Amino acid sequence: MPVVRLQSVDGEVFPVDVEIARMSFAIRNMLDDLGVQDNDAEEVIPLPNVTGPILRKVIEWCTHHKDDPPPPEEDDTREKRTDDIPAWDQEFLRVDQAVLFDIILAANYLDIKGLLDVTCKTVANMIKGKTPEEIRKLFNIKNDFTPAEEEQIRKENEWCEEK
Amino acid sequence: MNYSGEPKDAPEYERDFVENNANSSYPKDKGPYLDLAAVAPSPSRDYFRIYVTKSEVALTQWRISHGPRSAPTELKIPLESFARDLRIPSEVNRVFGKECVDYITGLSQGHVDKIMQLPNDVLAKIFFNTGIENLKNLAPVCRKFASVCRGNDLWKRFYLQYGGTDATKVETKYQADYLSWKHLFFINRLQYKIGNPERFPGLFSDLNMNIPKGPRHQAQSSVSSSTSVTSWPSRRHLKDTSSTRKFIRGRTARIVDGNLIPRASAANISRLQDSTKSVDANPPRQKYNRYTLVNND
Repeated sequence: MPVVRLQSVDGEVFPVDVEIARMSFAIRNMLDDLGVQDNDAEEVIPLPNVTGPILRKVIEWCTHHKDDPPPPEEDDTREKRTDDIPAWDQEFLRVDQAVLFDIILAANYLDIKGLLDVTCKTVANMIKGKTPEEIRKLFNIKNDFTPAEEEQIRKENEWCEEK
Repeated sequence: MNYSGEPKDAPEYERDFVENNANSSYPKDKGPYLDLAAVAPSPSRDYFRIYVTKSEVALTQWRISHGPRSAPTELKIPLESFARDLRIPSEVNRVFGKECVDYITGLSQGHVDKIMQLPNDVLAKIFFNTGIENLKNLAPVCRKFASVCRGNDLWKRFYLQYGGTDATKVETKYQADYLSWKHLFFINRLQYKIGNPERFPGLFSDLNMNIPKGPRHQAQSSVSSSTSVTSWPSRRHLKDTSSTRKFIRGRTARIVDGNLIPRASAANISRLQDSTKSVDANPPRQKYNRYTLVNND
C-alpha cells in the first residue's frame, strides 16, 4: 500500500495510506495535481494549519471510516437529522470543546465532508433547545450587542414557523 | 519532492497552495483574546483598557483628575488567577460590565470561545443542523451569529430543505442575487402554503373566524331559512359586535362616526357630509345606508 507522509504545523510527520489520505479532498486534489504515483515514499505534505494532536485525531477518524461509501455530493435537500450519529463517532467526539472545534477547522480545511458533517451535527445537538444566554455560557461567547440592538434582533427573529 | 523550500522556487500551483494557506482565514493562536478600551461611568472620567492574552490579563488605568497629573498605570496578573484576584474583576465589572467579567473568567478557566473562530459557512452548516426553529435563540447571541442567521449560506439551505427545488435555475440564482435567499425562502413558503391551505389549518384562521352569517349564508343553512330569507338583518345585528363592523368595512362599506357609508363612492360621501349640516337629515341617511348595504350584499 503506497504511503504519503503528512506533516503537521509543529513538525510531526504521520505516514498515512494514500487511500486514507485521499479522503481529504484538499490532499486528493494536490496529489492529483502533482501527479503523484505509487512508490513515492519520500513524499512529505506540509499541513500548515493543523497541529499534531488534531491531525492524529483526524487520521484516526479517516482510518475508521475508510470503507464508508462516499457521502452524497449535495445533501441540502435531505431531511435534516442530527440523531443519526454513529456510536463510534459519538465516542470519538466526546472530547474537549476546544479540540472539537479544532477538528471542525481541520475537517473544513482538509475538506473531509463526512467528518465535517458529523462534527457540525454534534455541535448542533449541543445548541438545540438552548436559550441565547445558555448558548453564550456554553461557548463562552461575549455578548457584543447593546441592549437596544439585542432587543431588535430578538424581535426580528420572533416569527414562528409552523410546519 | 520536498515542499519545505521557498515558495518562489516552487511551481505555480504549488506556490498558490502555500500562499493561500498563508492568507487563509484559519485562526492563529496569536493576538489578544480581548482588547477593549472605555471611559469609566460618570462621575469618574478615567480611561481604562483591558487586554487579555493567552497568558495574562492587563488592566491599564489613566486617572483624569483636577489634581496633579498622573501617568497611566498598569496592573498585570496571570490569566489563570483572574477569578481569584481582588482588584481587577471588580474594576472590569464597573467599567466594562458583568458580561466582560464572565467572559474573562471563562477564558481563565480554559473556555476559549473557539466557536467564534469558525468561518461563517461552517457556522451556517451548524445552524442549519439545529433547525429553523432554533434561529430565534441563535441570532441574539452575538453579532457574528446574527449576521450568519441573516446570511445567504444559511437561507439557501433552508430554501432547499423546505421545498425549493430549483436552486440551480438561472432565474432563481438571479432572484437570489437581487433579493436574498431569505427573501426567496419566505416567498416560496408563502406560495406553497397558499397553494396547499388544507395542510396549514392555522394560516387563514384570523381571516375567516369572525365573519357573521349574513342573509346569503342564512339562506343556505337549513333550519331557519324560511324566516331569514324574508327578514333583512336588523340594525342591531349590524351594529352590535366589532366583528360585524370589520366584516362590513372589508366587504362593502366603511363606518364614519358610527354610521355606515358605502365604500368608494365620493358622491355619497359628499351627500352625507352635506346632510350632516342640516339637523333633520338624520333619518333619511340611516335609511339610505341600510339599503346600500343590503344591495351590495
